[in-house]
Amino acid sequence: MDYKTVKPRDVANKSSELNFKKAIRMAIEVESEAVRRNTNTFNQNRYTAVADIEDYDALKDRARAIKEESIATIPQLIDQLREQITSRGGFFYLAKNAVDANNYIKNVCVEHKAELIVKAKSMTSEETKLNHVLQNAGIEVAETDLAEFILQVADEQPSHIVAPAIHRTRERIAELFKEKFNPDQPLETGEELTVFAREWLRNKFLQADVGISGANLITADTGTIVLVESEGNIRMTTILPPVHIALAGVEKVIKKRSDIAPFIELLAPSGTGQPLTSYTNILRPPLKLPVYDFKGGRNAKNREFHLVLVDNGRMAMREDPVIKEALYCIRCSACLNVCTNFQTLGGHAFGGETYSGGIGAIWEAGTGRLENARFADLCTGCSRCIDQCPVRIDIPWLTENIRFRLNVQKKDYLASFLSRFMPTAAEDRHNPLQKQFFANYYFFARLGSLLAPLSNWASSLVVSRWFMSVLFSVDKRRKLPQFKKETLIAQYKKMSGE
Amino acid sequence: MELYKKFRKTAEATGAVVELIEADEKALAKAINKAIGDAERVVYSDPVDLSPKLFRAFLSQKDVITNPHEKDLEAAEVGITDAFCAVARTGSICLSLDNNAGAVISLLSKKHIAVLSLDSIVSRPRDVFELSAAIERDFVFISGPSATADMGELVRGAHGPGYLHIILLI
Ligand code: SF4
Repeated sequence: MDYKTVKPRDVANKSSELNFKKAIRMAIEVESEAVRRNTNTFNQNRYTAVADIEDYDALKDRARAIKEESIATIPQLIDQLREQITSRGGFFYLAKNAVDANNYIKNVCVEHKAELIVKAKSMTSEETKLNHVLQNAGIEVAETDLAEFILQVADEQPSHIVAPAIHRTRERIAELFKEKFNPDQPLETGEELTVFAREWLRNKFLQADVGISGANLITADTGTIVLVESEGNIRMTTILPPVHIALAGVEKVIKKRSDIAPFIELLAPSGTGQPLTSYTNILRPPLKLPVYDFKGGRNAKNREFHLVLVDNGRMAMREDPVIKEALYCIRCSACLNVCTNFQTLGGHAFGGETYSGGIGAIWEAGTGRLENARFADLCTGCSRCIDQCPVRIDIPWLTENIRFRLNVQKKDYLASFLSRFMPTAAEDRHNPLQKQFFANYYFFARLGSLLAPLSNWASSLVVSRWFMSVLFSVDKRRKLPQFKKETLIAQYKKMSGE
Repeated sequence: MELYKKFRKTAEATGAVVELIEADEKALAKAINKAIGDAERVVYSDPVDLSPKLFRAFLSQKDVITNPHEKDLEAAEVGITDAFCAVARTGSICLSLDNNAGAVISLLSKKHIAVLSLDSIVSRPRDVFELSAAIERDFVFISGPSATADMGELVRGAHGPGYLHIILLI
């Protein structure tokens, strides 16, 4: 099979084992080069940037403490926030799930007879699949973050939580634009591609009826929204159209405006490795700015603002002593960039329909189905990410827990039957046979040694290799160890005269 | 001056140009004109944190659009605003978004010239939140020109301005 032609979208959902395998092959053949280069740049820059923060550790403790307190008090914070937003003339909506959030947003847009919506990057809207709903209502949606713009043109899902088009090299972007836009001048350099996209989107910004953004943080005490970006598209989305809708998960709410600082001081250094990205917006919409009318014929006097907070599984995550940890995540991407497996594959293999990396597995499970988190398998538990996390999440512990749940859920009857013939501990009997085989390696080696040379002959048979491949996933091409009657330990004892 | 040195270094690392001049209307007019160069459509917003008097000399001699309409904003080459503080560690300047035409001017122009006072430099982003000027306000930390790395390499000048010129007044 030619894995080069596998479309990332078709293998985004990892509940199918086959999808997962295809995605890995595709990623290695097509996307690895770009992912490796980009994540390594972020990773190196992060080391430099965090070294410049003199109280880095104390700041991490502070950020962690604020998140813990916020998640513990979400219901109260939401009440306070609602009060703040509505008292300033904004609208507040708490959506139960993706459908609920999408419908609310669609209705606001339809009410305003919106024809064109500009969107700033929002992972939450990827999670709820908002674009489909708006487009089905006949509204044009323009993704304005340049990476999201690429994804929209290519019809692909994000491959990284901060830089969602990290899997495409400049050459592959140029190819895509050539195919879809057929520009008069060939576009080659990053500059040419950027200028083309900027001009295409500038017009959209000026004409748009509604702007939709996400939020990095929201504070309950003042209804302040923090939006971090580099391109200026979030500034345009929040300032130019007369209506602004912000969509965010309930976990984004923290208590106080005065608690914003630790997060913005940690976020950019941990993510792209910059002290701050080009623009960090601190807003309490509706903004106190005039309504601009670039389109002509607008007669709105006042700006309109809607804050849509979505639950979609988060409140249940909060009740789960393990999964709850993921709610502290500020989506900085440090754990992705530092991960060797992620550096090789990127989020189209090491990720699901929306979220990527080890932490992404928890998000996919929390906001969707547990099986969607199968890519948690790609975490080897090396622990390199733990120290890099600005809110001190032990990500490998979480992925291990997810794998455990997946194994329990899978009910592998063959494995639990065969486990009776191995010294597997009772609580591990549901684990995949491959895992059990290697966990009991000592037992099998012992057996092989006792039965040598018969065991060597038996294991070299085509039929045995076939069995080993099917049962224990030991590749047929792999060279097997030769067993000796006398074990190394026995030999050692003899030599040392014991 | 320590803060200034640090700020200059970090701001230049973001791709901004930094200069330090006397807080005098003639000196400011000269500096702004130089930064404008041959650019044509220059839009200006009344300062919200600096004294408007500082800009008198500049406004008297140059063909500047002072009350820009949508058409002017759309085509603006240079946008001039003030800013209320700067951050040494990150090379950022902070611009008020409350009732400030500078919000959109600083966004749609190709080049943004920002004027602010030298003694407004603070050390870290967290210090900005302590300032009385920031407590009840919408604002944006601007750290260099707009930029993107999404097209396979770092490009300055994404959706926002491609150039940022910071003039500090001593
Ligand atoms: S888990 Fe930690 S390191 Fe990873 S994205 Fe979230 S906050 Fe960043």
